[in-house]
Amino acid sequence: MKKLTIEELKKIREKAQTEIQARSPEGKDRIVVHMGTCGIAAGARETLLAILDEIEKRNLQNVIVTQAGCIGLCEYEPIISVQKVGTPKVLYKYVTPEKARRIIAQHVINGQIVTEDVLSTE
Amino acid sequence: MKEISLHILDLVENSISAGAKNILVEIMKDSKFLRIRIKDDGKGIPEEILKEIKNPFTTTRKTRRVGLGISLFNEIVGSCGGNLEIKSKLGEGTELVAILPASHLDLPPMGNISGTIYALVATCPDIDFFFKISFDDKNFEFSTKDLKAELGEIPINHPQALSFLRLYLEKNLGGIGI
Ligand code: FES
Repeated sequence: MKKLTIEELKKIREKAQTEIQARSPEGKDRIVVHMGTCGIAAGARETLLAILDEIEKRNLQNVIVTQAGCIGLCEYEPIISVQKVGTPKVLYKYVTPEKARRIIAQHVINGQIVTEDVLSTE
Repeated sequence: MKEISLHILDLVENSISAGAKNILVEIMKDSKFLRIRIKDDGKGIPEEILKEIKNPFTTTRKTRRVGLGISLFNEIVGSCGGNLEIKSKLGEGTELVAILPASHLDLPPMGNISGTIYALVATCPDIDFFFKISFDDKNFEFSTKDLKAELGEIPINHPQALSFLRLYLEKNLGGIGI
């Protein structure tokens, strides 16, 4: 790959350093996007991109996004799960990019579950 | 699936589920052919399943989810008169090579390749990806190992690193278009 420029790398390092130190010890909120074949066909990639975009725009340092495979629930795809630290995991169904942005604003940031989109709660 | 880039994402997902730690994705397109190669060091696909995967009659079987994506992709390859070859060794990994005529009417558009790369790198920080892309005369290579080396102790899925990656893809591949 093309090398990062020195300035770019410096900037990333400086910003990241302060954040690494400020990272809360009790872990991070987690969002998992299910990326089975059905999920992808139903739009999981766009949902994931919207989630990453929202996190970047809002500079959410305490949220980590991962992916998981199929969970055998084709008909509800795209599915994501949200687990805020110290609270139960919530599975959301038919998560379009718009819904994903709303879930971040309402659930991840404000701690209020978006009830109408819930598939199940653990 | 309406984009080749989604098929690629789906095929790479198979490698991820197979526990791969290194995944190579090569996409080459010129005026005649589109060639896709995905090579991983995952646990490999057992021969019986490999045989079954290519059989179109198993495509719609709901009970077998692993490899469903390969069947779907195989259908596209077939309808375009292309060729798909999968070699797999248990415990060593899998290599998939598809060659398709670039201008076949049934060939879906390439779609959002940057989005596929970004989605994979951002959500699989422990896997090393190597992307090699050449569209006509435009070449692009990106290795997460290199990026990790540059980043040092900063994780590759750190927001700052991701925002760099997003801009990098935008510069080189036309952005992830969200
Ligand atoms: S891919 Fe269809 S249920 Fe998982």
